[in-house]
Amino acid sequence: MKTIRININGEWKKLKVNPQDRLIDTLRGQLGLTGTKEGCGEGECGACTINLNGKAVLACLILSVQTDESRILTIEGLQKGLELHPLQTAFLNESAVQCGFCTPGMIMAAHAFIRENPEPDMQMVKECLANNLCRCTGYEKPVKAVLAAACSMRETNHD
Amino acid sequence: MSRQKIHAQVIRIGNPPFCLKSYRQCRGCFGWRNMIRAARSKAAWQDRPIKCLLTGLTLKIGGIPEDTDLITGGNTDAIQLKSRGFHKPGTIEETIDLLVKYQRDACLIAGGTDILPRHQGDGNRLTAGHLIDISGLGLDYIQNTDAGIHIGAATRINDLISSPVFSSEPYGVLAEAARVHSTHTIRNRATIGGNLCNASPCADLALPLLALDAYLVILGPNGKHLIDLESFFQGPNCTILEPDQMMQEILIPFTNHLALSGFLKLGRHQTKIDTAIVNVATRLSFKENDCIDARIVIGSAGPMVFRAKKAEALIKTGILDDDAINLAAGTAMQEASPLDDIRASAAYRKEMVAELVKESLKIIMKRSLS
Ligand SMILES: Cc1cc2nc3c(=O)[nH]c(=O)nc-3n(C[C@H](O)[C@H](O)[C@H](O)COP(=O)(O)OP(=O)(O)OC[C@H]3O[C@@H](n4cnc5c(N)ncnc54)[C@H](O)[C@@H]3O)c2cc1C
Ligand code: FES
Ligand code: FES
Repeated sequence: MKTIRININGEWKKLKVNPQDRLIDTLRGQLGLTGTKEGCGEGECGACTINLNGKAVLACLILSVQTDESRILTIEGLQKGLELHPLQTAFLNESAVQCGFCTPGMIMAAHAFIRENPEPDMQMVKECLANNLCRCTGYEKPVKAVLAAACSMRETNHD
Repeated sequence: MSRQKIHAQVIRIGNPPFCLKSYRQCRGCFGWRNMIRAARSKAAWQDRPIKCLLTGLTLKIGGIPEDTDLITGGNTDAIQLKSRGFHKPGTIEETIDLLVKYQRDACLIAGGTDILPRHQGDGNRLTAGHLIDISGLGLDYIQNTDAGIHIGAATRINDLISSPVFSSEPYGVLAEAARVHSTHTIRNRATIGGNLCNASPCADLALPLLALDAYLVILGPNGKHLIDLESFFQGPNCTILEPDQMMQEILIPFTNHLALSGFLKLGRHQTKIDTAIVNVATRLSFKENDCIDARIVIGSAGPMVFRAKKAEALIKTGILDDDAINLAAGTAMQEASPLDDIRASAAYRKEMVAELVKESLKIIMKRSLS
């Protein structure tokens, strides 16, 4: 067992983890943060996308021990009280959700991306979501939702 | 079909090679089984170490008659290994000490995007007992010196794309390949050193780096040495690195010649999350208006990423026109020795080698005219 310290959705926590535990195991199992999903465990589906030190990464392809002293943001950390994040609102408004399994991953991929590229165009959004598979809605609505969210985040200076 | 035991040299044993006992359990995506088959029939694949990425088992097979069924001899009852340790050294010296201590039981981890997918949710399948994380060694940098451009082995692939050094010729071909490597999300973790050390025959960044005549700085218990990238690759997923060695940086030699280059990657059209069916990098250097050097590098069509040297010679000596391009493309196709796998058949791959070489040389020709 190794002890790590991580900032999870704004709060620093000390955890004991096995060297072979992946971040997705720690998030879902130990921390009960089940918003992050595991689809494939191989880096292909993107359902496990989270933000690590501000960048979109796959929680199934990182060992928890590698995240010592890092900042992690998951879908649970986006909402402030009752107020949804503009990305969440946009996904609802555009009906970009059916079963919702891929949604947390898509939103977290878009969240890191918009911070780096506040004014993305359609092609850039497609690049950003290229690692997120959806088997229900297709991709048109999620792409529209991300564009709409980027727009509303610029207008309201939201991060 | 006659069944006979083949004389395969077992170089390394990892987890139980269940895929050897039953073909049905072999995950064809790693293509190991097809590679072993190729080692019996294709000259380019013979006498090279061939490594199964799932089990770590590495075999070297000589000329084995095609009509024999494969059963391996030797001791393949491997030891079940579990990840027992995770180390994050702060210095290169510490890292080498750990490699010397644990030898084949050690595995360096950079971005982890090659090593970790093999777990498939099961950390117990790790083939190494001790993981050594190299992200604390300060090996993420891109520096310009008189010798050329130094790229730290642990530099993330997205950082190559955003670096001004690779935004245009003469070194732009590296960023061109980096942009079509996997996805933005994977590239946030994946490193250039990992891409090379994994030594996949389709590794996207190996192609532009061969076209740029890159060297590698290798570190080990006996110090530092420089090696050219071409001699680094030994076989599919196998490099010249000893268990106690690591890559420190990649050096692209300085050039002041005018160069034109291109990178093309043929993938499956459904998804961007995939390695290539065939990938090709070409690069021509010019002095005044004369072509003084040509590189035609081909991936996913042989045991390793390789330079099609006969095709290069044709381009270097002649005038760059349609006839020369067609001849070079046909020659490059002859130099390729691809496999059938889940992505494409060998025959299709061969055709595509010719097409991609043709297309990328034509793009260069157009650019050279303008
Ligand atoms: C979904 C997905 C898509 C992918 N798409 C592509 C693609 O389009 N093109 C492509 O080329 N690849 C692709 N890959 C493969 C992989 O992402 C790349 O090969 C990547 O560059 C590996 O880098 P890494 O840092 O993650 O390697 P790691 O997994 O950390 O390491 C890979 C190997 O290199 C060794 N190693 C790492 N650094 C060093 C060092 N400094 N010295 C010695 N040994 C070292 C490790 O021990 C290990 O054996 C894909 C992978 C996934 C999961
Ligand atoms: S679970 Fe991580 S990419 Fe599918
Ligand atoms: S909404 Fe069901 S997978 Fe995307």
